[in-house]
Amino acid sequence: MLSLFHAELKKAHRRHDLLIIVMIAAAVVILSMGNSRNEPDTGYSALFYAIPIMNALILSTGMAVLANRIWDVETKGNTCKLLFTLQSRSSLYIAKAVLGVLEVALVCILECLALIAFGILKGYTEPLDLSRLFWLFLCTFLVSLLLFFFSYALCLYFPSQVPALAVGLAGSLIGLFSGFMPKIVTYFVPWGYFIPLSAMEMGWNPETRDIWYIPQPFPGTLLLVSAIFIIVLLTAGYSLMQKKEV
Amino acid sequence: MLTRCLIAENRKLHGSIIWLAFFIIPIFPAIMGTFNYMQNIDILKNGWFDLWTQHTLFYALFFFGPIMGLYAAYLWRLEHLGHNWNMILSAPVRPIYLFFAKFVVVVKMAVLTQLWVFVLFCICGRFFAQLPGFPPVQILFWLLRGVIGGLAIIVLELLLAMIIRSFAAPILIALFGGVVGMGMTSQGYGLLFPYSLMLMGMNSNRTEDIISGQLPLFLLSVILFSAIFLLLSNRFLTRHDIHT
Repeated sequence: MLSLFHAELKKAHRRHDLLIIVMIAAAVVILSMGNSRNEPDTGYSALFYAIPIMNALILSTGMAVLANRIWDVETKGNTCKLLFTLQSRSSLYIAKAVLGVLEVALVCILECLALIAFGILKGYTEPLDLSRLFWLFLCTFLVSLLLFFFSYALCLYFPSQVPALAVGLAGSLIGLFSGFMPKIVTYFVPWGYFIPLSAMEMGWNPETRDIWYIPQPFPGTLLLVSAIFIIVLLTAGYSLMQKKEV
Repeated sequence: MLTRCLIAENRKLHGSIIWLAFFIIPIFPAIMGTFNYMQNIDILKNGWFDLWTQHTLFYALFFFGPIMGLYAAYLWRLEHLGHNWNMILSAPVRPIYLFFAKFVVVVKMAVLTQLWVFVLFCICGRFFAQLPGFPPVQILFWLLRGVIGGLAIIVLELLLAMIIRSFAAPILIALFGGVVGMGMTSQGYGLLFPYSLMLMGMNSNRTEDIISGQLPLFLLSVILFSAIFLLLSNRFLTRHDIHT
């Protein structure tokens, strides 16, 4: 299996995936930091609130791009026929999935590191709650994986790469939109799961325009739903790979 | 010869899956914008203009660029497959005509997308937001200005899609460009960045004209960026070996 994963890494050589990963994380970080209140005493809370919203906007398209680039090498080179005679379909699927998981994890780690770096740079006096940082990482990682495997399955299902990316773009809009809808609606929109899984909520007084942040209870149920979705999509993708016509 | 290239490029879009993206993607900002408008109807008092700001905010900021990237990447994708690069470059046509034909087709798609956005805006305004009359003519002018501002993005996306042999990368670059473009516009440097120009042309999220008095500079910026990217494309097509 390691050699097959190594083959995937070789395919990624000169594909500049790292640059793509940095761009995705940077887009989220720039938007979050530009749109959150940089007050030292609530700085981290503001970021814990802003980052999931920007994740909903950027990561849906970002995950579609990552999945597309991982699978596109086979579509463009028309290599499936050859590969399926040399290795099992499942090994190809798993090797690509593992590479995808690592790339998604890297996006999430970069986001968290940027949050810490920004806090130090801006001199936030609010102590950084590491458990909430881990929570942000875990939720971002799981929802991103869900979106990644959905896009991966779309790439396998359609011969064209357009649907996966178009759905990613539409998903960005739907995900963000769901954040402004009643909470019950957000549970039916996986592209926007970042928002109900957020560690912080914002309260504000429209008259005085005061803003405050409310720590949220750990959303175990929704996280479990996301994990179930990932397993379903992973299985669906595996099945699509097994049945793929070449 | 250019006419033949145009016919060929148009033919590539016949029955293409790209039309599905063209129809579906603009529907979401329209729903979002109308919903936002209706939620804040107590503080939004400028009728059609306020609805316009809500409709175009996310569309112009984050989605016009990637949609253009999608169109551009789709048209170049066909050349990146198989040995099509060899075929098109051995055709008795000046290489820049190939690029220019794709440019014209993407501009056509951009105009159609803008018209579709306008139709959705009118439907949402009349039937959901219950606004009286018809949208002001100024909004049509902003839509046209959005297309003009978008020309620089289109040439740049075509250049990127031609050089980068990945379907997804130009789309992500456009999304990233939109994020940076928003920052540049808010800092007052929008005219210096191609991805800001469409945003400024569309006058999204503003009821007062964002480029009032700066129209010549805006047009100059569009022409300059478009010319630079067009020249770079010509240079790439004529000086570089194509790896197929």
